[in-house]
Amino acid sequence: MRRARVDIAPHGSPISAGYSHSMATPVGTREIGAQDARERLSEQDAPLLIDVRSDQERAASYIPGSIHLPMADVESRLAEVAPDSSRPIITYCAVGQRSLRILPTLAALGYDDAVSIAGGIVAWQALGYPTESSSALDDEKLARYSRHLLIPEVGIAGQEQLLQTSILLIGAGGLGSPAGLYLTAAGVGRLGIVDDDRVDASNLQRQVLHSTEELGRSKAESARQSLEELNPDVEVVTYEERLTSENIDRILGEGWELIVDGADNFPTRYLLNDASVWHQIPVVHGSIYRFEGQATVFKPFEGPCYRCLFPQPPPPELAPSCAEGGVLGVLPGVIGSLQANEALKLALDIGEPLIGRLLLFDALTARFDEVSVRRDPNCPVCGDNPTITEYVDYPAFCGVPA
Amino acid sequence: MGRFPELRGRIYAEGELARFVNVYVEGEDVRTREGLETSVEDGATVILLPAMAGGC
Repeated sequence: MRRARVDIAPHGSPISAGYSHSMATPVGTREIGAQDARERLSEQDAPLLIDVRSDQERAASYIPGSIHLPMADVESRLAEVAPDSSRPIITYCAVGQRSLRILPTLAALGYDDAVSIAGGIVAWQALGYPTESSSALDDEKLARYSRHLLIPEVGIAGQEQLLQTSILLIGAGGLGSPAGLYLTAAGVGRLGIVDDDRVDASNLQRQVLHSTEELGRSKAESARQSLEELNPDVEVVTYEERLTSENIDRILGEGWELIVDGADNFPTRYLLNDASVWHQIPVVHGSIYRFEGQATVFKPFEGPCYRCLFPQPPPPELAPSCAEGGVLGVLPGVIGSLQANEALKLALDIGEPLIGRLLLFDALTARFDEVSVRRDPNCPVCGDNPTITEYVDYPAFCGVPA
Repeated sequence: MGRFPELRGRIYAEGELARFVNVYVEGEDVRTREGLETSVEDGATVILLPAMAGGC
């Protein structure tokens, strides 16, 4: 189930790589200085200017008049963007390495008259030459998310993607607090919170969304206030209700692309699992008890579901809750943050999500373990011949009073 | 099981490993191998994993 690691911009963005090219950029035989490039581009019958960088880099800034043709697409699409192979070509990238390396490929395709801008767009900008940006991020957002924008795997396109992502949090408690805070800080556009509970004094040892002033208040409302204060870009949607078979289709049907599960009981976990499989919404799962935590991602039909991992809940006497057995205050901070990490990766479509892998954390030894979890073809919900196709009586299934 | 006899009552149901407990040898679920007969090399990591629901 593991997916190949995808390096979106293997050479890094110009800013994160710390380059400081200037007019002194040395120019090789197949290169052209930025100043000469600009002159040639302003002539009649100007060369074709090709930007070979990634989508993210392109979105941040580009040289006006350039055509975007990422490295990987050169062989398949060059003839389409440059039908006349005798027309001279100038290539550029961030600092002039990739655009130089691609020249032999151009030559092999019959485009002999091609040079690369030495120092790339960084050298171009260093001379004060104009660039354009296709970004919709305003100055405030550029500042707020600047540490994301510096990462090639996020960049402007990734941040815009996050700002358009809708994530639903089940529970604004131990796990939902850190997950909600980090997702909000990261600029996830729309965050839903399902919680029917009120803030209790015993919550404050770990549920960092709530404060002493909030005692007795609705957790969903308290969470909304904290999150809106942290980041006004985020639209917070609250559901002050307990997830049930009756309301879950309505709630999941409101456009949520990802679910972060921080529920505190087995009936809700199984109900959410079945609903998420039927609605085909990935669930970032986390659970905690005393010093131990678990985290994984259930992506319907691509990996296992919760029932593939645990077909049955334990009898209640063998599965005490945090309320009965306690939990180290920081533990949900670790696991809930891991859930936010997975949710951001899924939203950005980067890295290797925890699909088919269950991560185990032991706070006492400070060790992580990982076990593999496979989709069960006989799973009653996501298997090849499902036997459960509608909601069941989840409290009864879990042996607990409704 | 010989070394920890008190485990039997906790993780067995109807003569089999209960479905709310998973046992992993070197990260692999023993149900995908030879169940509780799966051989364990010296130094191998064995993880006994109960389902937990807590998110509070």
